[in-house]
Amino acid sequence: MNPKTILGGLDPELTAKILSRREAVSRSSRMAGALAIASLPVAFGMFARRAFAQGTLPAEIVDVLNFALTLEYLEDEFYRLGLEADTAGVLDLGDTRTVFDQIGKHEAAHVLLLQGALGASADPKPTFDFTASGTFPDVFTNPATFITLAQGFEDTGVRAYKGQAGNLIADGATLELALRIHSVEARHASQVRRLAQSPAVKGWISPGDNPVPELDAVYLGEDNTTHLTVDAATFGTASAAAEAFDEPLGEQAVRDIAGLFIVT
Amino acid sequence: MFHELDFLSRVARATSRRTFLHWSGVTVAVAVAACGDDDDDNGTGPTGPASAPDSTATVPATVAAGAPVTITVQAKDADGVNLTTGGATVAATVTGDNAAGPIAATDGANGRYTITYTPANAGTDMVAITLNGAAISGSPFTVTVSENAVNLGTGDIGILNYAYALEQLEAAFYIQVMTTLYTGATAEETQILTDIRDHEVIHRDFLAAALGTGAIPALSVDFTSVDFTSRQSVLETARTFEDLGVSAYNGAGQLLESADYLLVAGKIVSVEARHAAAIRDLLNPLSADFAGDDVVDAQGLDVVNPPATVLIAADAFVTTPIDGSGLPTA
Repeated sequence: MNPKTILGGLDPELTAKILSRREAVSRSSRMAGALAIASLPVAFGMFARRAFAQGTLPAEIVDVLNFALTLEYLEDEFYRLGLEADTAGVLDLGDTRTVFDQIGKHEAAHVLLLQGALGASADPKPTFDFTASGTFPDVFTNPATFITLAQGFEDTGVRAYKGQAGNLIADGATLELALRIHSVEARHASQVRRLAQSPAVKGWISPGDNPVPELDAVYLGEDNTTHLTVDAATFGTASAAAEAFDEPLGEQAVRDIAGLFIVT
Repeated sequence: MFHELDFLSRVARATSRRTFLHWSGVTVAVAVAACGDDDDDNGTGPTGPASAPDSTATVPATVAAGAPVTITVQAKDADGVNLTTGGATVAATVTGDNAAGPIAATDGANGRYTITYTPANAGTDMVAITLNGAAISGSPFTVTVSENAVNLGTGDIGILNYAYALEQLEAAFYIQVMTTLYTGATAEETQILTDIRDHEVIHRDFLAAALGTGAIPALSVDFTSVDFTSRQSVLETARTFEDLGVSAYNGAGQLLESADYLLVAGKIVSVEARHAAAIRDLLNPLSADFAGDDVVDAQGLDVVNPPATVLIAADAFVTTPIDGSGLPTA
């Protein structure tokens, strides 16, 4: 996928915003704005080439996007193998199949999007071992294990994107893409978490409900309730206050978690 | 872009309307211009003593809450001729949504008296005005008090106030949902809606605390379009609010200058997205709707909206006029 295609699918408001940020649209008069919109395809094509042509992304943005790509590779392959196993009849996803089809579709799209944005700078896909060297031997035969790992991956994804937002603050367009992936991961995380419960209730991370000890690192610090020096537990129970805010995770902590499933 | 223009023109209209209202004093009863009245009821010669039923007042028909209302009373004699000296006792008593008084008038010593009061609440006030203990012409007067537009402000504080406005709306909605929960709610639904209410209240109060003195006041909401006895109506409205919240935070991120505020917005938006997925799954269990194609596009990207679009959508549920014209747009 070439860079133009990647951004070509974005909605008009976002493209207008990108142009606006790059001062391609003069805000000095309505006429100038109307003219800029009229010539949007041309102007936008120029912008896309300039911003995402090979080698023009700042190194720090490349690093963030490649970090995200690694996680998307992991999720994409995980769901692909799971869905294949379900199709083959060795992993019975039952009535949750539709949910995982939808999640798998999004993860595949995220891989394509990030690969396209990175162009030749995209890191290659690692080799994964979803048993984590035998820790989860039945990952693709036992639905409970599959769902547990799915929850861990989605919650890790949410934390990882959140942790990188600040590194993208100077690049509004890329930040917005990251945020839009981030909230999709959160929708996934909520749904998968609820699949693991009976009755299916909390799609939010409640203190102390980590699924398995092996994934404790995924939830480290999630019970924090203080933000901007304000303790949110002042306004409700400590449990609700912890649920009400998802916490970020730094790059190394995320890499350590992902590393459990990466062979090379 | 078109949304934005709509929004800006709406703000412009609202602004001009308020300005107009401030200036739209209604003169009640028509003063009969005359001079040299001798008070023999023929309108000529020296003026006589002040006559309450002949005296008039200029009272604004509509004012904004929180802004002082200034009422001018013109004392006249029995011939309806303006007096030019003071000395009468003029007072006003307000009943209705901002009961006050009696409020003594300031004597201008020129036949005119000034009464001021500041209504805090939106609604309707009846202002009874007396001169020397008797009602003047046209009393009591009706004053409609409209809500003052809330200006979200500029920069990062404006964006945080924008978030605070949305959290106020969500919190008020879920509080109402749980106060009058529809019959037949399952234990699962009750727990989910209770949790979400608690989260939104925490978001609301947290943002108020973080904003401190920069916080906008409490907004008035209107949920008359929601049938709280209907599971479908409640859950569909919840879905609207959650998706709107996700789109709002996704759009607001790049408008923030501070990485600390960006992080807090990120901490909240993913919880809103979790809510959205849960509500959507209640509406259509085990379907793809939790992250449906109506909100997540073919590139796997979630909804995003600029403040102008979000505020228009929220306007259907908020009675307090919101002025977002100062928010950053890029």
